[in-house]
Amino acid sequence: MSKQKQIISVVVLLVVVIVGWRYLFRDEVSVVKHRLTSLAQDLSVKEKSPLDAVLGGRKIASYFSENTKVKLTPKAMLLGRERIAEYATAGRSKFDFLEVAFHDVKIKIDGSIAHVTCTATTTRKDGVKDAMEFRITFEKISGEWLISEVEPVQTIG
Amino acid sequence: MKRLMNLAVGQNPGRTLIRASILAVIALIIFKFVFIPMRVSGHGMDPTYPLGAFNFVNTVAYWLGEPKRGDVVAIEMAGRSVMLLKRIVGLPGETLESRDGHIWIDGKQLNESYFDNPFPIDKITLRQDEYFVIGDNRREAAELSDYGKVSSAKVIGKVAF
Repeated sequence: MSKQKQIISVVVLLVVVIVGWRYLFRDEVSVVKHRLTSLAQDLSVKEKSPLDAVLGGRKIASYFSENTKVKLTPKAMLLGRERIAEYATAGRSKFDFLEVAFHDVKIKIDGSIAHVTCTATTTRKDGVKDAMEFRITFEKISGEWLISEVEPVQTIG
Repeated sequence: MKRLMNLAVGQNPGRTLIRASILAVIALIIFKFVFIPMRVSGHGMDPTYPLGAFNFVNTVAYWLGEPKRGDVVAIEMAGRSVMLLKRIVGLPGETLESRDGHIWIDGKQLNESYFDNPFPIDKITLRQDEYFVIGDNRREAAELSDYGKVSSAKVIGKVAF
Protein backbone atom coordinates (compact mmCIF):
# COMPACT_ATOMS: atom_id res chain seq x y z
CA MET A 1 0.00 0.00 0.00
CA SER A 2 1.37 3.40 -0.95
CA LYS A 3 2.09 5.96 1.75
CA GLN A 4 -0.72 8.17 0.43
CA LYS A 5 -3.28 5.35 0.79
CA GLN A 6 -2.03 4.61 4.30
CA ILE A 7 -2.53 8.25 5.34
CA ILE A 8 -6.05 8.32 3.83
CA SER A 9 -6.96 5.07 5.63
CA VAL A 10 -5.74 6.42 8.97
CA VAL A 11 -7.69 9.68 8.48
CA VAL A 12 -10.89 7.81 7.53
CA LEU A 13 -10.47 5.48 10.53
CA LEU A 14 -9.96 8.47 12.84
CA VAL A 15 -13.08 10.21 11.52
CA VAL A 16 -15.16 7.01 11.98
CA VAL A 17 -13.85 6.57 15.54
CA ILE A 18 -14.53 10.22 16.47
CA VAL A 19 -18.04 10.24 14.94
CA GLY A 20 -18.84 6.86 16.55
CA TRP A 21 -17.48 7.97 19.91
CA ARG A 22 -19.50 11.20 19.81
CA TYR A 23 -22.63 9.26 18.83
CA LEU A 24 -22.26 6.61 21.51
CA PHE A 25 -21.00 8.88 24.29
CA ARG A 26 -22.83 12.12 23.61
CA ASP A 27 -22.41 14.78 26.23
CA GLU A 28 -25.51 15.62 28.23
CA VAL A 29 -25.87 19.09 26.69
CA SER A 30 -26.14 17.54 23.20
CA VAL A 31 -28.64 14.96 24.46
CA VAL A 32 -30.90 17.65 25.98
CA LYS A 33 -30.56 19.78 22.84
CA HIS A 34 -31.49 16.77 20.73
CA ARG A 35 -34.56 16.16 22.94
CA LEU A 36 -35.70 19.73 22.32
CA THR A 37 -35.21 19.38 18.57
CA SER A 38 -37.25 16.16 18.54
CA LEU A 39 -39.94 17.81 20.68
CA ALA A 40 -40.17 20.70 18.21
CA GLN A 41 -40.57 18.21 15.35
CA ASP A 42 -43.30 16.33 17.21
CA LEU A 43 -45.09 19.53 18.18
CA SER A 44 -45.18 20.62 14.54
CA VAL A 45 -48.25 19.72 12.49
CA LYS A 46 -47.94 18.97 8.78
CA GLU A 47 -51.59 18.10 8.05
CA LYS A 48 -54.86 17.93 9.95
CA SER A 49 -55.67 14.39 11.04
CA PRO A 50 -57.60 13.34 14.19
CA LEU A 51 -55.56 10.13 14.49
CA ASP A 52 -52.28 11.99 14.14
CA ALA A 53 -53.51 14.46 16.75
CA VAL A 54 -54.09 11.66 19.30
CA LEU A 55 -50.84 9.84 18.48
CA GLY A 56 -48.94 13.12 18.40
CA GLY A 57 -50.44 14.13 21.74
CA ARG A 58 -49.27 10.85 23.33
CA LYS A 59 -45.81 11.24 21.81
CA ILE A 60 -45.50 14.81 23.06
CA ALA A 61 -46.52 13.72 26.56
CA SER A 62 -43.67 11.19 26.56
CA TYR A 63 -41.17 14.08 26.72
CA PHE A 64 -42.57 15.13 30.10
CA SER A 65 -42.14 13.67 33.57
CA GLU A 66 -45.11 12.13 35.41
CA ASN A 67 -45.56 15.18 37.67
CA THR A 68 -44.60 17.85 35.20
CA LYS A 69 -45.67 21.47 35.71
CA VAL A 70 -46.24 23.51 32.55
CA LYS A 71 -47.10 27.14 33.01
CA LEU A 72 -48.72 28.45 29.83
CA THR A 73 -49.48 31.97 31.05
CA PRO A 74 -49.03 33.57 34.50
CA LYS A 75 -52.52 32.22 35.39
CA ALA A 76 -52.85 28.94 33.44
CA MET A 77 -50.94 25.81 34.35
CA LEU A 78 -51.02 22.16 33.25
CA LEU A 79 -50.16 19.58 35.88
CA GLY A 80 -49.11 16.04 35.03
CA ARG A 81 -48.31 14.10 31.89
CA GLU A 82 -51.93 13.11 31.27
CA ARG A 83 -53.06 16.75 31.06
CA ILE A 84 -50.21 17.42 28.62
CA ALA A 85 -51.42 14.57 26.38
CA GLU A 86 -55.01 15.90 26.44
CA TYR A 87 -53.93 19.47 25.82
CA ALA A 88 -51.51 18.52 23.03
CA THR A 89 -54.15 16.35 21.31
CA ALA A 90 -56.74 19.12 21.48
CA GLY A 91 -54.21 21.72 20.35
CA ARG A 92 -52.92 19.68 17.40
CA SER A 93 -56.43 18.93 16.13
CA LYS A 94 -57.03 22.68 15.67
CA PHE A 95 -54.24 23.16 13.14
CA ASP A 96 -53.63 21.81 9.69
CA PHE A 97 -50.15 23.32 9.67
CA LEU A 98 -47.92 24.55 12.45
CA GLU A 99 -44.16 24.68 12.59
CA VAL A 100 -42.54 24.78 16.01
CA ALA A 101 -38.88 25.63 16.60
CA PHE A 102 -36.61 26.43 19.53
CA HIS A 103 -33.99 29.15 19.06
CA ASP A 104 -31.08 30.49 21.10
CA VAL A 105 -31.09 27.40 23.29
CA LYS A 106 -28.79 27.72 26.32
CA ILE A 107 -28.35 24.66 28.51
CA LYS A 108 -26.77 24.42 31.97
CA ILE A 109 -26.38 20.96 33.45
CA ASP A 110 -26.46 20.68 37.22
CA GLY A 111 -26.18 17.00 38.14
CA SER A 112 -29.38 15.30 37.07
CA ILE A 113 -31.09 18.62 36.33
CA ALA A 114 -30.75 20.63 33.12
CA HIS A 115 -31.75 24.29 33.08
CA VAL A 116 -32.69 25.50 29.61
CA THR A 117 -33.55 28.97 28.32
CA CYS A 118 -34.79 29.41 24.78
CA THR A 119 -37.16 31.22 22.48
CA ALA A 120 -39.93 29.07 21.04
CA THR A 121 -41.55 30.09 17.78
CA THR A 122 -44.67 28.82 16.07
CA THR A 123 -45.17 29.56 12.39
CA ARG A 124 -48.64 29.33 10.90
CA LYS A 125 -49.53 28.49 7.31
CA ASP A 126 -49.70 32.19 6.37
CA GLY A 127 -46.12 32.69 7.57
CA VAL A 128 -47.07 34.61 10.69
CA LYS A 129 -44.76 33.77 13.54
CA ASP A 130 -45.39 33.97 17.28
CA ALA A 131 -42.53 33.89 19.73
CA MET A 132 -42.20 33.35 23.44
CA GLU A 133 -39.22 33.02 25.75
CA PHE A 134 -39.19 29.96 28.04
CA ARG A 135 -37.34 28.54 30.99
CA ILE A 136 -37.47 24.75 30.86
CA THR A 137 -36.21 22.31 33.48
CA PHE A 138 -35.28 18.79 32.44
CA GLU A 139 -34.74 16.02 34.95
CA LYS A 140 -32.83 12.82 34.28
CA ILE A 141 -35.19 10.05 35.33
CA SER A 142 -34.19 6.40 34.75
CA GLY A 143 -31.54 7.53 32.26
CA GLU A 144 -33.91 9.70 30.25
CA TRP A 145 -34.09 13.49 30.19
CA LEU A 146 -37.72 14.47 30.86
CA ILE A 147 -39.26 17.92 31.15
CA SER A 148 -40.28 18.57 34.74
CA GLU A 149 -41.13 22.25 34.51
CA VAL A 150 -41.88 24.84 31.84
CA GLU A 151 -42.27 28.51 32.61
CA PRO A 152 -42.77 31.39 30.18
CA VAL A 153 -40.53 34.41 30.57
CA GLN A 154 -42.22 37.75 30.11
CA THR A 155 -39.90 39.71 27.83
CA ILE A 156 -42.40 42.56 27.82
CA GLY A 157 -44.84 42.87 30.66
CA MET B 1 -9.65 35.86 -22.02
CA LYS B 2 -6.56 37.02 -20.19
CA ARG B 3 -8.16 40.44 -19.70
CA LEU B 4 -11.27 38.78 -18.27
CA MET B 5 -9.13 36.75 -15.84
CA ASN B 6 -7.32 39.93 -14.84
CA LEU B 7 -10.64 41.60 -14.13
CA ALA B 8 -11.81 38.66 -12.04
CA VAL B 9 -8.73 37.96 -9.94
CA GLY B 10 -6.49 40.96 -10.63
CA GLN B 11 -2.85 40.83 -11.63
CA ASN B 12 -1.95 39.25 -8.31
CA PRO B 13 -4.48 36.49 -7.45
CA GLY B 14 -2.93 35.92 -4.02
CA ARG B 15 -3.41 39.53 -3.02
CA THR B 16 -6.97 39.51 -4.43
CA LEU B 17 -7.76 36.45 -2.34
CA ILE B 18 -6.46 38.15 0.81
CA ARG B 19 -8.50 41.30 0.04
CA ALA B 20 -11.63 39.24 -0.63
CA SER B 21 -11.13 37.32 2.62
CA ILE B 22 -10.69 40.53 4.64
CA LEU B 23 -13.81 41.97 3.02
CA ALA B 24 -15.77 38.79 3.80
CA VAL B 25 -14.68 38.87 7.47
CA ILE B 26 -15.59 42.58 7.78
CA ALA B 27 -19.01 41.93 6.17
CA LEU B 28 -19.56 38.98 8.51
CA ILE B 29 -18.73 41.07 11.59
CA ILE B 30 -20.91 43.98 10.43
CA PHE B 31 -23.96 41.85 9.61
CA LYS B 32 -23.58 39.64 12.68
CA PHE B 33 -23.01 42.31 15.31
CA VAL B 34 -23.61 45.84 13.97
CA PHE B 35 -26.33 45.86 11.30
CA ILE B 36 -28.23 42.67 12.05
CA PRO B 37 -30.52 41.76 9.14
CA MET B 38 -34.11 40.99 10.10
CA ARG B 39 -37.38 40.04 8.45
CA VAL B 40 -40.73 40.96 10.00
CA SER B 41 -42.80 37.83 10.69
CA GLY B 42 -45.88 39.19 12.44
CA HIS B 43 -48.52 41.91 12.25
CA GLY B 44 -47.67 43.70 15.50
CA MET B 45 -46.00 46.65 13.72
CA ASP B 46 -48.50 46.98 10.84
CA PRO B 47 -48.69 49.18 8.84
CA THR B 48 -45.23 50.68 9.49
CA TYR B 49 -43.38 47.38 9.17
CA PRO B 50 -45.68 44.83 7.49
CA LEU B 51 -45.27 41.06 7.39
CA GLY B 52 -42.26 40.10 5.28
CA ALA B 53 -40.58 43.52 5.41
CA PHE B 54 -36.80 43.36 5.41
CA ASN B 55 -34.68 45.69 7.51
CA PHE B 56 -31.61 45.95 9.73
CA VAL B 57 -31.17 46.46 13.45
CA ASN B 58 -28.55 49.10 14.16
CA THR B 59 -26.92 47.92 17.38
CA VAL B 60 -24.60 50.93 17.68
CA ALA B 61 -27.46 53.46 17.50
CA TYR B 62 -27.50 53.92 21.26
CA TRP B 63 -23.78 53.94 21.95
CA LEU B 64 -23.73 57.74 22.09
CA GLY B 65 -27.30 58.46 23.13
CA GLU B 66 -30.32 56.97 24.80
CA PRO B 67 -33.41 55.64 22.98
CA LYS B 68 -35.99 58.35 22.28
CA ARG B 69 -39.77 58.29 22.31
CA GLY B 70 -41.08 57.14 18.94
CA ASP B 71 -37.99 55.03 18.12
CA VAL B 72 -38.75 51.56 16.78
CA VAL B 73 -36.42 49.20 18.60
CA ALA B 74 -35.48 45.53 18.53
CA ILE B 75 -35.90 43.68 21.81
CA GLU B 76 -33.98 40.48 22.34
CA MET B 77 -35.61 37.38 23.77
CA ALA B 78 -33.48 34.38 24.84
CA GLY B 79 -30.96 35.52 22.22
CA ARG B 80 -30.83 37.50 19.00
CA SER B 81 -32.17 34.92 16.54
CA VAL B 82 -35.71 36.03 17.34
CA MET B 83 -36.38 39.63 18.34
CA LEU B 84 -39.48 41.67 19.07
CA LEU B 85 -40.04 44.91 17.18
CA LYS B 86 -41.78 47.65 19.18
CA ARG B 87 -42.09 51.42 19.38
CA ILE B 88 -40.91 53.24 22.50
CA VAL B 89 -43.72 55.17 24.18
CA GLY B 90 -42.47 55.75 27.72
CA LEU B 91 -39.00 56.67 28.87
CA PRO B 92 -37.31 55.79 32.20
CA GLY B 93 -38.89 57.46 35.21
CA GLU B 94 -42.03 58.58 33.37
CA THR B 95 -45.59 57.92 34.48
CA LEU B 96 -47.98 56.93 31.72
CA GLU B 97 -51.54 55.78 31.20
CA SER B 98 -54.08 55.58 28.39
CA ARG B 99 -57.47 57.32 28.51
CA ASP B 100 -59.86 59.00 26.05
CA GLY B 101 -58.09 57.20 23.16
CA HIS B 102 -54.72 58.79 23.90
CA ILE B 103 -51.58 58.14 25.86
CA TRP B 104 -50.81 60.53 28.68
CA ILE B 105 -47.28 60.92 29.94
CA ASP B 106 -46.61 62.73 33.20
CA GLY B 107 -50.08 64.26 32.80
CA LYS B 108 -49.52 65.51 29.22
CA GLN B 109 -51.28 64.06 26.17
CA LEU B 110 -49.12 62.59 23.40
CA ASN B 111 -50.15 63.76 19.95
CA GLU B 112 -48.08 61.59 17.58
CA SER B 113 -50.41 59.72 15.19
CA TYR B 114 -48.79 56.32 15.84
CA PHE B 115 -49.82 56.52 19.49
CA ASP B 116 -53.53 57.09 18.75
CA ASN B 117 -56.11 54.61 20.08
CA PRO B 118 -53.67 52.83 22.37
CA PHE B 119 -54.41 49.59 24.16
CA PRO B 120 -55.60 49.97 27.76
CA ILE B 121 -52.72 51.01 29.99
CA ASP B 122 -53.25 51.38 33.71
CA LYS B 123 -51.28 54.20 35.31
CA ILE B 124 -47.70 53.03 35.59
CA THR B 125 -44.40 54.63 36.62
CA LEU B 126 -41.32 53.27 34.93
CA ARG B 127 -38.09 52.52 36.77
CA GLN B 128 -34.85 54.17 35.66
CA ASP B 129 -33.90 51.05 33.65
CA GLU B 130 -37.26 50.55 31.94
CA TYR B 131 -39.00 51.65 28.76
CA PHE B 132 -42.63 51.25 27.83
CA VAL B 133 -43.08 49.75 24.36
CA ILE B 134 -46.05 49.06 22.12
CA GLY B 135 -46.71 47.86 18.56
CA ASP B 136 -48.20 50.17 15.90
CA ASN B 137 -51.02 47.79 14.99
CA ARG B 138 -54.11 48.76 16.99
CA ARG B 139 -56.41 46.44 14.99
CA GLU B 140 -54.99 43.48 16.89
CA ALA B 141 -56.79 42.51 20.07
CA ALA B 142 -54.99 44.02 23.04
CA GLU B 143 -54.71 40.61 24.73
CA LEU B 144 -52.90 39.22 21.69
CA SER B 145 -50.41 42.03 21.57
CA ASP B 146 -47.20 42.26 23.56
CA TYR B 147 -46.93 45.70 25.11
CA GLY B 148 -45.66 47.00 28.39
CA LYS B 149 -42.46 47.52 30.32
CA VAL B 150 -39.16 46.23 29.04
CA SER B 151 -35.74 46.31 30.66
CA SER B 152 -33.25 48.63 28.92
CA ALA B 153 -30.80 45.70 28.81
CA LYS B 154 -33.15 43.92 26.41
CA VAL B 155 -33.21 46.82 23.93
CA ILE B 156 -30.44 45.89 21.52
CA GLY B 157 -30.79 48.54 18.84
CA LYS B 158 -32.85 50.71 16.60
CA VAL B 159 -34.47 49.64 13.34
CA ALA B 160 -32.32 51.20 10.63
CA PHE B 161 -34.88 52.42 8.08
